[in-house]
Amino acid sequence: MPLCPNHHLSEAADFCAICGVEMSAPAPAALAATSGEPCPVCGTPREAPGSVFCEVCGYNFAGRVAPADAERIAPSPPAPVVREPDPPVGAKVRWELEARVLTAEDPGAPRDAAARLFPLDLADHLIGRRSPRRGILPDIALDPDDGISHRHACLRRRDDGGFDLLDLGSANGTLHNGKAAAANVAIPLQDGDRIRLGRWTELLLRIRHL
Amino acid sequence: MFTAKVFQNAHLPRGADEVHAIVSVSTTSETKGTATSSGPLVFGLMIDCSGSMGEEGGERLRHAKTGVTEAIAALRDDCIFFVIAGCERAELIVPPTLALAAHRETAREMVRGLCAGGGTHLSRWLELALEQFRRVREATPNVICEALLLTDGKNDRLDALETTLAECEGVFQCHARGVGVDWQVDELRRLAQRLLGTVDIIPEPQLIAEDFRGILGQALGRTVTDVRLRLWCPQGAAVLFCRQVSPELLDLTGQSISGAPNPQLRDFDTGSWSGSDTRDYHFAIRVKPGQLGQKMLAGRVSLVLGGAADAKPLAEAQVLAIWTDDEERTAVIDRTVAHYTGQGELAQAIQEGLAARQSGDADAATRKLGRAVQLAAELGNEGTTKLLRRVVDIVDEREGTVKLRRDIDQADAMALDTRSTRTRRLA
Repeated sequence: MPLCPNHHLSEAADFCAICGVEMSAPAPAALAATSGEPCPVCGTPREAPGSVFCEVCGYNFAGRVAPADAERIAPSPPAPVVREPDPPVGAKVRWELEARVLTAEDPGAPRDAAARLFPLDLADHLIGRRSPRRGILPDIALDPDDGISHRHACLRRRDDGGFDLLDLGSANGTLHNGKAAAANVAIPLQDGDRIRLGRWTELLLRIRHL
Repeated sequence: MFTAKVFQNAHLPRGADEVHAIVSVSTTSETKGTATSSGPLVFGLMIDCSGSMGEEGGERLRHAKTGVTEAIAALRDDCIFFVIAGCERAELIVPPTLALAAHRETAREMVRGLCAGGGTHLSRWLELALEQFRRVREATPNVICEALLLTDGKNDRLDALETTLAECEGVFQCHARGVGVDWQVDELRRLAQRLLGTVDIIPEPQLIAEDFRGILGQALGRTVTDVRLRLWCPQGAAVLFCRQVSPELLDLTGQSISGAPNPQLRDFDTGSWSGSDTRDYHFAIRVKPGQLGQKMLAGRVSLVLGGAADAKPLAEAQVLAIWTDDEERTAVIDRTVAHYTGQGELAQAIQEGLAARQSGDADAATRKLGRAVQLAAELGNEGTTKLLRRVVDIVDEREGTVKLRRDIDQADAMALDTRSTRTRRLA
């Protein structure tokens, strides 16, 4: 049976038999996107499709003219989501992920970006690119690399304390130790595994013994 | 064959949650002979034989008898009929009989022998009629059950009527007629509304036979019975009201049949239909507001035979809701919805105005009836304006300025009251 945009199973093909929403309508998130494109200066969604100016910074949507003080009102980075770390399963070891920029891979890669370290202390880590408008705030946000999907892959803790890699059907795919990872198939990870994704990003998995 | 058509403005502004639509249901004569057609007509006549019917030389009872015998004569051979004489008791004068020539002759003799005496206890009459209809239905299912009740006084015992009506609902339809001016409009209107019939005044006894002919003519035209209006709504939606708005105003909101196959469905009984019927229904549904640009099915109206969960719809119509920022689209009220909203307001103004007059509040009566005059003119209800003129002197129709007439004939006021629920269709 098909699913309606609100995720109800519906026998009827035209409108959902539960909530009445049109079956062929885009999902609510995508729908919000069409009703208000984000302002290119401050990121605020356009009030109505026909409105001329951005309600926050005054950007002219019709003429595509930025306000005079465009630099001052650059988009503010989204507030970090604070989550309680899950209790570590085996208290003796800590899993870490190091994100590196492979400058040789792509001329557009940032030259002087430092490696970033992400402790793997949750049960599930989303790897991807931030999209505050769609409400996607990955735990491992690899923002500047636009070859990475917003919801690209995830690292999931197994019952034995180890981690699996799952590609979430990303646009450009994921390489695990040089081999393409099939979408939505769990691949058990080991110390020293390398995950390649996007245009220039490499993730290195490490286990630290405490 | 049934067809259903929707009239509505589906466009709603942001955050709006009320959807209004008129669903117009029509039948065409193809209904005859198809699988949907029902069995023969069972017609019950309930005639008031209380003491007052015999007063003033017994003219009312004499004309009532003529009406009954003429009605029996007009029946087809395959019809079944019965006659109940009512006072504070109810007596089955003619038990359910097939309308063959010999049986009609016997019935005529029985009716001729009726005499007046006693009180008026409507629920007894209805209970006895209910018993007859049930018996016939057991023997021959799928018959069309209609009844006619004639009275000239008000019910002596008020307590039992509601429960009796609840029992009769869904078993037979009943038209109510009041002869003279000593009966209660409210009471007969409630009876007719619950039993999906019409209500009217017969001001003079000599008009009884003609009125009965009209009712019987309509009853004989019925070809299909137990037609239900099935309303589907999205989960969490509330049905604010469901009304028949044409040919008569009839609030069905509280009359949904219990035991619908699914909590999202509501079934409403519409009784039997003829081959060339048109009835309009007004639905108001409150839904969860959708996002801008979203299109939603706020209601699906279908007509089904019987109450089976998987009954195949005879006709179907969709009530939609589309949320948009475009004010030009959301500001428009659909012409048909507006027309019938006005018809409802007109009926209310008349009924409240007459009630105020009855209770001696001349100011309120003048105000309400003035508004009724104004509405009737706006909506083009010429018949209603004509009836209103017998109760008020119209000073300015457009402004609704009127003067209450002093010499109001009670029959005119009652005619206005009973006919207030009759609506005009848009051309």
